[in-house]
Amino acid sequence: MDRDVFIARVAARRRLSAAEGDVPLPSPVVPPGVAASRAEPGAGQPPAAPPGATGPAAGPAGGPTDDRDRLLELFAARLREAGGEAARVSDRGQAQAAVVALARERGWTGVSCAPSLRWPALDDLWTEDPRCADFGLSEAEWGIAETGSVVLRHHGDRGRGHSLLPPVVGFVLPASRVVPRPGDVLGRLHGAAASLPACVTFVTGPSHSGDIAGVMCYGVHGPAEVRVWLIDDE
Amino acid sequence: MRRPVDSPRAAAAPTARASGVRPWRAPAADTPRTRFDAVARATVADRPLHEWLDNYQAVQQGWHKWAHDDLGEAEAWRDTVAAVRRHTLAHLDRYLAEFAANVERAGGHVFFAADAEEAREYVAGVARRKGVRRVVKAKSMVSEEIGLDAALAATGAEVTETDLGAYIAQLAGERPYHITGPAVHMRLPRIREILSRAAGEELPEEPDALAGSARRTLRDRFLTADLGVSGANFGVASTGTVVLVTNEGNGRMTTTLPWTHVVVMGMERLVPDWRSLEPLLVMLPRAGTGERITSYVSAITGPRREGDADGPEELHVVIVDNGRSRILGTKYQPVLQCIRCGSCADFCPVYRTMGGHAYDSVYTGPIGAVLAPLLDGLEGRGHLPFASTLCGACDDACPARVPLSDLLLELRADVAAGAAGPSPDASAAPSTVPASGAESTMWAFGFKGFAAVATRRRLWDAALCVASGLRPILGSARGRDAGRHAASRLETAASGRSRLLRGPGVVRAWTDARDLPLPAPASFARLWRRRPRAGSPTSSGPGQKGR
Repeated sequence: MDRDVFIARVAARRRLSAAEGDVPLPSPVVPPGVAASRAEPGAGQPPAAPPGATGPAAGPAGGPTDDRDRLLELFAARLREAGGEAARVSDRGQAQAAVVALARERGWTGVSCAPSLRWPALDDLWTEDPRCADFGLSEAEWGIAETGSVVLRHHGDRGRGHSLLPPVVGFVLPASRVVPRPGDVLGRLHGAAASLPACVTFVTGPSHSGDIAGVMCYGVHGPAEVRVWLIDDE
Repeated sequence: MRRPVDSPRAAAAPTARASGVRPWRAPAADTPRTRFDAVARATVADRPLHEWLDNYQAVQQGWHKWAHDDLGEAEAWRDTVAAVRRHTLAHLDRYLAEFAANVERAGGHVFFAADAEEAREYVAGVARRKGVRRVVKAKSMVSEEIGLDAALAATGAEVTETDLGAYIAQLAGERPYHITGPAVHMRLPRIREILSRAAGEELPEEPDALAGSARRTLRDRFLTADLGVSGANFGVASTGTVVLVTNEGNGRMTTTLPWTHVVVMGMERLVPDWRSLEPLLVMLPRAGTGERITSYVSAITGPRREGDADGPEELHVVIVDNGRSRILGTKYQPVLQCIRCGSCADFCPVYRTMGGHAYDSVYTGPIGAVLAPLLDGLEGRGHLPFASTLCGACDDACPARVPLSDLLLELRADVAAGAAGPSPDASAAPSTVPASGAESTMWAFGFKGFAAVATRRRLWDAALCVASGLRPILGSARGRDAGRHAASRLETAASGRSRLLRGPGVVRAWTDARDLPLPAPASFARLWRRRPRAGSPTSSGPGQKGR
């Protein structure tokens, strides 16, 4: 059907109910209690700044750092409840070492990741094709404490397959980029609408389904195991 | 090992006979109404299925409660979900134009389909033009609604549902049983049988092994598919983004691996912007599966960009009306607030009792009882609004505050008003509603007569006396019915109250589906008048006068 005709038809129909008056979009769009908690410092400012712009949350008298620790603990606990694993490492080097150790322990022969994330230590295992990898590694943009989710922006060489096709997947996530709630990430995406990539993915724990007689099965189509390394100094 | 349960429709007649339940009316013609009767009766008579559905609902309700307690302020969240949905519907034309323009700005194609046929034609056209041989589908209610699978198969393509439940239902040739769980009614032996047949080997009766077999089959389909078809949980108007909420990863596979991705979405699925997406994204998984969030939330804005490592090269978004604009601007508009979580079915006592296939629609549960008649027309679906107790459990469960029981009541009124005139399909009219002029007169007479008796004290007392007098007849009558059917059955509880399980003659039409408590030997008013007065000589009551 012609677009203008379609939209005109919808407009004509919905005008029938417009007599009731306009229905405003709620503002704020979240319940008042939640909105208040978000007004706390550092919690939900729509940011626009690209990754890496903020340093570690350092503050006087340890206050903000305690908040940060609590947030990271919550993130790890919620991810564990969703069936994933989170570990804190001091820097990228430690994360690298952890991945290499895991690869040795499991006897992996192929690790896939974006070329930009290809660490020298992984050279002999690296493959660009996630379809035949034992493990896929991705760089996460944000973490969400309330749900234990990592958020990925897929653009350029940061492919979607690395976090989807291998049976085990891992993410590196700068600890400073963990936010309290899903809305904090949505607010950032709202602010950065102009630079939205073709695909943004929220990943929370392994792929799962209860479709077989109500029994929880992991790794139904996607990975059965999810690991997140939180990097403290980023 | 338990005997596999056949599909309710196929099993309808034998099961009903075996359980001794007399069919309401011999299904002379195959109409939606007779199918409804047959399937609902079969489910009612199938005790193992019943227990299974009871348990399913109990588990879902537990998770639902957990997820809402965990969130806190769930009622306030529901308010904001409803407000966002209402606002969007009140400005739907504007958001449709904005959404379409932004999808195109991101490099996608948009097609507006007035009805199912237009939508099918468009998608089949894409498949033909691209020479598509293999299609993978991520669960999409709208694609079921418009019958897309058959249209794609007609182009010569092989079509595979990839949501595990939808895959099992497709292999079994069944409609989805539940909005979020297409195969929730199937127990392990049946699933093992279906997946074993598909795999060509005997699989063990273990969920992980069965899921593993499906994973291997479907992974191959994903890697070789040329076209991916998905639905859309939400469309963000401000950026032209399609948001998919999934748990298994099939949604991501479908929208990542094939060269072409087609989104089929209902036109009401929009939200204004990313901020207003928040309450919906928070509440959909909590209401749907009782989780904080699903494993995957994918936000897709156009096809892959220059230099992207993967993703489809072509993206088509098909926006489907198919009866929705007819609902807009009417008293039924709130049904479009639905976000398809399926929690109304998880709480509905009628869904639990008659099962999802009785709705004979893509949309099951209370939302199906409202939506199916509105989308398909009252003629063939007029019986569905009566498949409800109006208990309001669905109203309380709905995260978007769709006033389901109000809408069901409105629909009943419309069906009744329509049935007073000549009905195009009389046999499809529900039994509780007059179907013909003569019956309608009898109804009017019956209700007027009842009103006349019930509003006159003496007549009412006399009627109660007569009813008490009928006790022995109702309780033991074998009458002329006895030859043809078993005798009346009476059950007397320890309390001394009796109820009729199986009545004589016309009463059986009632007792086939419900118990009938016998009239008390004496009415309360009579007992009150005759109550003993010992120990309270000063008391004076209404009984005084009667003596």
